[in-house]
Order: sequence, then C-alpha cells, then structure tokens
Amino acid sequence: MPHVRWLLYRLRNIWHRQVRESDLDAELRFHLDAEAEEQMAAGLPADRARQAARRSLGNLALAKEDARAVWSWGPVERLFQDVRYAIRVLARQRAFTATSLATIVLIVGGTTAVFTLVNAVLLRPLPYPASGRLAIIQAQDPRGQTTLSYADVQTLQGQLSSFEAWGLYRGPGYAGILDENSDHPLPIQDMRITPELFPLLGLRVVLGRPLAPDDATDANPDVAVIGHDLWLTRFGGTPDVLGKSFEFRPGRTVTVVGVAAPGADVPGNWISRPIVWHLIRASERSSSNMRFTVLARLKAARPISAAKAEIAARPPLTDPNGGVNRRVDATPLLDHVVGDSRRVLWVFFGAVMCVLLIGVANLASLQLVRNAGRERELGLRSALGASRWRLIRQLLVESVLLGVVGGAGGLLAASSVVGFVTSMLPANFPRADQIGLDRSVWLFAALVSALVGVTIGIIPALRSIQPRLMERLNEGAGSATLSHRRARIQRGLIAFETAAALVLLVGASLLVNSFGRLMTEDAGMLERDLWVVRGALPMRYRSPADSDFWSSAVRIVRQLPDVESAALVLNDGGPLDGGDIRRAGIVPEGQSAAQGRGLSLSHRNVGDGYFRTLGIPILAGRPILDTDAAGTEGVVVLNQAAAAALWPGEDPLGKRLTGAGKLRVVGVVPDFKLTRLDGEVSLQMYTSIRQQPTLAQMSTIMLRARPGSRSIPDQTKAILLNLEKEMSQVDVLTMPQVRWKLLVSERFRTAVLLVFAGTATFLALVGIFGLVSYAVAQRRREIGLRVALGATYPQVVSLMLRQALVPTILGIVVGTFGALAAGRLLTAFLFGVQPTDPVTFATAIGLFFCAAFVAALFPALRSFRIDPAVALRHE
Amino acid sequence: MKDGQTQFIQGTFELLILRTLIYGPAHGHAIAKHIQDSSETLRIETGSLYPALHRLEAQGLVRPAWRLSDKGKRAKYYELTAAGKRHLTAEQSRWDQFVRAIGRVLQPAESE
Repeated sequence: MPHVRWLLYRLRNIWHRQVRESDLDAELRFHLDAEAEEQMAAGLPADRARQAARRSLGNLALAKEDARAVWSWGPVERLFQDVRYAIRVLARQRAFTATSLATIVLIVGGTTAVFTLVNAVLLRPLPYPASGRLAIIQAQDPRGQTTLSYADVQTLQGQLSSFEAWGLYRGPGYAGILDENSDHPLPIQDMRITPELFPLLGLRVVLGRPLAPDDATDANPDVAVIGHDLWLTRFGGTPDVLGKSFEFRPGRTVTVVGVAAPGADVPGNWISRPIVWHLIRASERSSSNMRFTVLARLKAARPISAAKAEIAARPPLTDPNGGVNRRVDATPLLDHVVGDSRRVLWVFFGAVMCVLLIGVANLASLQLVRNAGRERELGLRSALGASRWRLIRQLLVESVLLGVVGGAGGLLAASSVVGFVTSMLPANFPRADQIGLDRSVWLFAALVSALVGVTIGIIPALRSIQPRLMERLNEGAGSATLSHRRARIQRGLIAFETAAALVLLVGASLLVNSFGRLMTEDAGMLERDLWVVRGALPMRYRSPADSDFWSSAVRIVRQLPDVESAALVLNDGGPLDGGDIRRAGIVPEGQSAAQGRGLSLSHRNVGDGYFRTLGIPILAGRPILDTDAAGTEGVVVLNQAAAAALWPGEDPLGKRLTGAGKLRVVGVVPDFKLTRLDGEVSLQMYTSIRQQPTLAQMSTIMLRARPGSRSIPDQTKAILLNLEKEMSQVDVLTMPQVRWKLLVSERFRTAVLLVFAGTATFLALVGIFGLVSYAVAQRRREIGLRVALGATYPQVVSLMLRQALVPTILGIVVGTFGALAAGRLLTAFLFGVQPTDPVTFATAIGLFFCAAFVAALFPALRSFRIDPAVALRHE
Repeated sequence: MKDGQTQFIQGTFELLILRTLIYGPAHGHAIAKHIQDSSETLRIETGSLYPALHRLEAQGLVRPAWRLSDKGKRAKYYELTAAGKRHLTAEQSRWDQFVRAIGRVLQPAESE
C-alpha cells in the first residue's frame, strides 16, 4: 500500500512539476526571510542578516535538489535533465556532433551489415525442423568427396544406429516445361528424391498428396509434386492442377499429384527455379553408378561425434564391381552447406571489427579534445556542488546519446547496404536468399551502439574523476600538465589505429595482388584478340542433329573480314567459363574401369580449328579436323597430363581409350587452364562434334579476330540473331571479361576487404590529422615562445610532425607483426602470393606512411601562421 | 549496518518534526526554531529539514497548506494528518522503549 501511494504521489508530481518547483522556491524564500528577520531582531544590520540567513541554509542549490529528489521521479527525472542538457550541448557543438555521428553511422552500419551476413549464413539454423541434428553422409574415395548409391545407403542404414531417419535426393537437374503456345520453355529444376525426404526436412504439401513409396516405377509418365511457385505461375493456383501432365524434358512427362508448400527446397540449393519433385526410379535404385546426396537425422541427444565414431568403427564401403573402398563420413548439414564461406565471413567479421575499433579510438580521442575545452565547465560544475558521479553521468549520457542516434542511422545504413551486398554476392554463395535483418541483427546493432556510446564516453569521463579542481579551473589555452596526459592517451590511440589499419591494408593488398595475378596468370592460350561468342537456342532445338545450326553459324562467322579463325565448342561456354563437363571411367583400351583405375577427364566436344583459334600448339599428332565425321573412326585429342596419366611413359599416339566409346588418340596438346586459373591443370580430352553429337542448345563459338578489331560483338550478334531470332542469352566477351566473370568470388571478397581497409585507413588518417591540428592549437603559446627565442619554423613544424609520426611508426611496427599473424588466415584465398610477401608489405607500409605524413603535415604547417607576438599576448 | 544507522537518525529527526506539529500547523522555519529552542543542544541542518518535510508529505503523515504567517506573508504550513498522529504515537512508544533499553545497558547499577 505505501508503495502505491508513493507511486501515485510521484506520478502526480510529474504533471505538477512547475507548481511544485515554484512552491519549493517560495517555501525556501520564506525561510530565508524569516531567518533574516530573526537575525535583524537580534541586532544585525539588514545585509549582514541576509547573509547569515543564507549561510544557515547551506548550499541552496543542493538543498533544493535534495527536496526535489523527494517528490520528483529521482533517477528518471535526472536522466531526462541530463538528456536535455546533452542535446543542448551537442546541438551547440555542431562540427563535433556531425563528425562523431558520421563515424558512428559508419562503424555501426559496417559491423551490422557484416553481422547480418554472418548471422544469416553461419549462425541462424537451417530452415528445417531440428536442423541441428541433420547431417550429410558422404563417402571419400581417393578423388575426394563423393555421393552414395542406393545400395550403399541400405548397407549403412542396417549398420548405423545413430540416425533415426534418412532421405536421399539427386539433383537439381536443369529442365524446362514446354508450353503448347510458346516456344520458350519455362525453366525448372527437377529433383529426384526418396519419399522419406519430405518428412525428414519437414516439407509439406498444400494440395494433393506427397510422393509415396509405390510411386517409384520406371513408368512414363511419372508422378510429381510441383513447387508452389510453379503452381501459381504456370497452373494459375487452381486445384484442378492435380492429374495434369506436362513434358519437362524431351520425351519425359510427369503427372501432378501434389503441390509443395511455399519455399520447399533441399539444403544449400542456390538455383532459383521452380522445383519439380519426383521419385528416384526403380532402375536408378539398383544401379551402383547412380549416386545420391544422402541426408540423415541424428537421434535426439546423440552428438555428431558419436555418429562419426560409430561410422569410423565400421568397415569402409566396398564396391560390388571391385572398385576402390570408400570411407564414409558424416558432416553436420550446416557446415556442409556453408562450406568455405565460413572462413570468408569470419575474415570479413575480423576486418569490420578492426574498423570498429579504429572508429571508437577516433571518437574517444575526439571526445578527449572536446572535453579539454570543457575542463572549465566541468570544474565549475563540480565547484558548485555537482558530484563526480553526476559529471561522469552527464558525459556518459552525451556519448550514449550519440551512440543511440548514430546507431539508429547505422542500422538504417546497414539495411540498405545489405541489400546491395547481397546483390553483389556470387550466385553460389550459400544461403544468400536468407540474408535479412532479423531480431538478432537489431540486438547486435543496439549492443554495438551502446558499447560505442559507453566506450567513447568512459575515457573522458574517467579523466574528469580526477579531483584537480584548481588545476582545472586555472587551465587556459596553453597550460601544461593536464594536456600532456591527454596527449599521451591520444598518441596511444593513434598508434593503435595505425596498427589496426595497417593489418587491414596489408590484408587487402595481398588479396588485390592475388587477384591481379589471377587476372594475368598465363592459362596457356593466346588470349589477345580471342573472343567468346555464346548463345542459347530455343527449346525446340532438342535433337543432337540441331548442332548443325552452330556449324552453319561458324561458317558464316568465318566469312567476316575481321575474323582470322573460328571454331565451335558444343554444350559449353568456352575455356574458363566456370563450368566443367567430366567423363568418368576413362581407361586405356583393354583395362577395366572397375578396378578403380578409371579416370575422370574434362571433356569438350569441339569443331575444326579449335586449338588454332585458341592459340594452342599441337605437341604431337594432329588436331580435331572437319574430316573426323560420322562414319569414320572415333578420335580424341588429349592434353599432356591426361596422356601421361593414361599411358605413363609411353607414346599415346595411335592408342585407344574406352569409357566414352572407343576413341583413338590422334593428337596431344600442352596442359592449359581450362576450368580454373588456380590449382592443378585438369586432365582433358577433346572429341569431334561430328562424331559425338550432343545437345547443343547452349554452345560457343571461339573466335580469333584481327588485332584491334572492334566490330566483332555487333557483327557476330547480328549473325546469330539473323539465323534464329529467338536466340537468347547472346553474349560476346573478350577473355579478360571471361576471367572477370570467372573470378566472381575472389572479386567479391577482395572488394569487401578493400572497402574495409580503405575505411580503416581513412579513419586512422583523420585521427592523425586531428591529433596534429589539436597539438598545434593547444601549443600556440609554446610555439610562439620557441619562435621568439630563435627556433625556425621548419624546426617547429618538425616538432609538430613528430607528435603524430612517432606513434604512427610505433603503430606500423606493431601492425606489421599483426599483419604477419593475420596473413596466415588469408593463405587459403591467395594465389601466387605468400601471406608474408615483402613487396606487398613494403607497398602497404609505404603508402600508409606517406598518407600519414601528408595528414600530419597539413595541420603542422599551420604553425607558420602563428605570430609569436600575438601568441604570447594571448591568454 | 550502516544503512540501519542512518535510518535511525533520520527517523528520529522526522519523529521530532511530527512531535512539533502536535501543537498545530507550522511552517518550516518555525519547526526548526522550535526543535532547536526546546532541545537547547540540537542544531537543525536546514538543508535536510525541507527534504525531510517533503518526505513526510509524500508518506501522507503531514498535509501542506499555504496560509498567511503571523507577519502577513504567504508561507507553507504543515499539519499532522490522522495517519501522522498514529505514526507519532507508535514511533514515540518505540523510542521510549529504545531509550529505556539503552539506559539499562549503559547504567545497570541504577536500574537495580
């Protein structure tokens, strides 16, 4: 009850505070009058009586505040007061406030944006029920991670007790739905699954029924559950979709039995096409060559380590055909989906934390400088009875207010930056579709803002604890000891900022250097004047015979005056397009692929003149020719690595290989980089398009032009569209453009780190600039004195420069060691550059030092403007 | 421990204020004068008088009213409420007990 009364009393007083305030004044005034009258009655003269009365009451302001504390809402009211005061102070110091806010927006925005990525990709669970218990089961053979056959899974299911449910899928496969009315297929992806996959991943159907075990037949038409988006766009979202059939691949038809819930997808699938779900066919189950992605859910409370131990205890999987044994392993699904991006994101996070720390250091040093100008104000307030805690609170309220306002701006900035960054992400970046601002992002932004606010307030606030009242009240523009201590803190901050910025700068330089090397790495082709002309034919070109379209296109292209040579590569985007087609089980004639000796080769189906166009010499034998046509013996050209792998130490010419039909080796080309610029050169085989007809909807004409020719893009595009006006995705690229596209992941992380390094460097330079500017202003009198006593201006300038450059050099030394340590984290991302590369280090250090020197020089030169006569008189 | 001590001292001060008001409404200055004069030794810190009065008001033990003082000026008078009177009686008997108890400990001979 008393509490309620107390609360009501205070609530009332919030509304009536004006009245209470004047009442209190009147009450105290009356007291003073009464006391004074009494003193006068005792014989004191009027003025002395008044003074005596005043003294008897003690500190009037404090008495008032104590009385007010009774009826006002103590802490809350005082907080409001502090906030009001802080707003006034900040509004008055506009330059300071703007600089601080901009910095806070920058660092809160940056950290929040990166955290949004980290949160969405690494921290948030996958969108499946009990997703923490989902694991992917893979086999490991000497060539790396592989998927498992249906029989493998049945063996494992019988042996392992750690898992309660299993689900298999194979896909996505690219396909399209043909529309009766249009020639443009609607792109879809088909996903072959076992019926258990839907319950395992918690996927539901919203219409019809899910797939059932006895749906698995080899019959055509097959049955399918279609994606929700496909239902809406293609079937108008009506229930009569059930029972409808459509062709999704030439000659393959499915009948719809159900519609999946929106968003149903397999883990880590980044292809954004509607999905058609159907069952793994009976024949695919019995084949040991048909491999599937295998997911399983751990039993409750069983850790992944227990499952791994159980798997390790069982014998490796044997191949029924006598191939190599394979070890099985289980990986938590999230780890598998995120893959290499984990490291990239943590590097980003580390980088943005560096930026955050530099920003905070800058803000703290800015606060120090600003509060230096307020020493008198603070001293005065404490002389008037403000408690130390009160002053500290005031400073903290100011900085936290900055933090909150800046943080809100940062969050706003982050939400727009995240959209931009997401659009820049490489297409295969895991979970990119799940990136967005959620509650943990908000919480993170709030936490960072609060931390920034408190941190930048606490340093100057703690300084104001020091009870050097007189020193503070006396402190003028030039006086000594306090500003010395302040300068020491500032120099420490500069050294710290320099070190952190240098670490980022070196890291970014390493990535830039590595990127540059990838762009210029010799792939073994003559890339000057080499053009790549790509296009996609409409869906009705679906017979292998339709590759004739391309042959005639090449013939026409060759007629162009600027074209020296041109050649086809079917069903491929040309060298370094980022994709690869592989043929497994290639062996020399007479050997069995099942002995584990079958090799996997990159396979390209090329036309006459391919190697000549690419500028690749023939080392032995001959290239693929126009005469290698249907009806003649199948031929193949190998690269050196493939030849050496198939026939070590022997001459491969004239020998035959099997696995992709029987082919005679007619030529050997040097190893050149076909699929990727880093890493080993793959084993390669080239066959003739006239002997191995393939689907050719997406194909490429490689073209060598006369030097300096600019008309190629327009002319070739015109030729293709002239031949088939419904041709899509027509693209004409130079090789640097091809590389640029190929290096999308490298480009992305280099760009992000460059932005961070640039920001960090900029902030550090601002810090240095500020330090010297302040030192010059602060030491006007001293400079004036020195000049008056005979110092030259260059001497004075170098004195001022030393202020900043000594801590900068210290920071560079520390930062160099930091970069040496941090560089190791980047090793996985570096190509052709050591993480300790001395040239990169020297460049980064040199650049930073020059920039720091300039940043310090400009304000230092201002000491020229100090006139000793004026400076000495000033005080 | 320390907390109990201050409360005890504070409580006493407020007890004295309430006791003063038993003779009728009075303003702060008069209350201070009265306590000072009647105790002969206690010095009232004016700085803590008004906070104490406001506290009593907040607890509903006194009721404020603006009246003209005997010298014709507007002054804030405090008056005991019914709750204030009850509180005073209870506190006074507790104080008496306390004093007796202290007395017995300090001068055991006399109590025999």
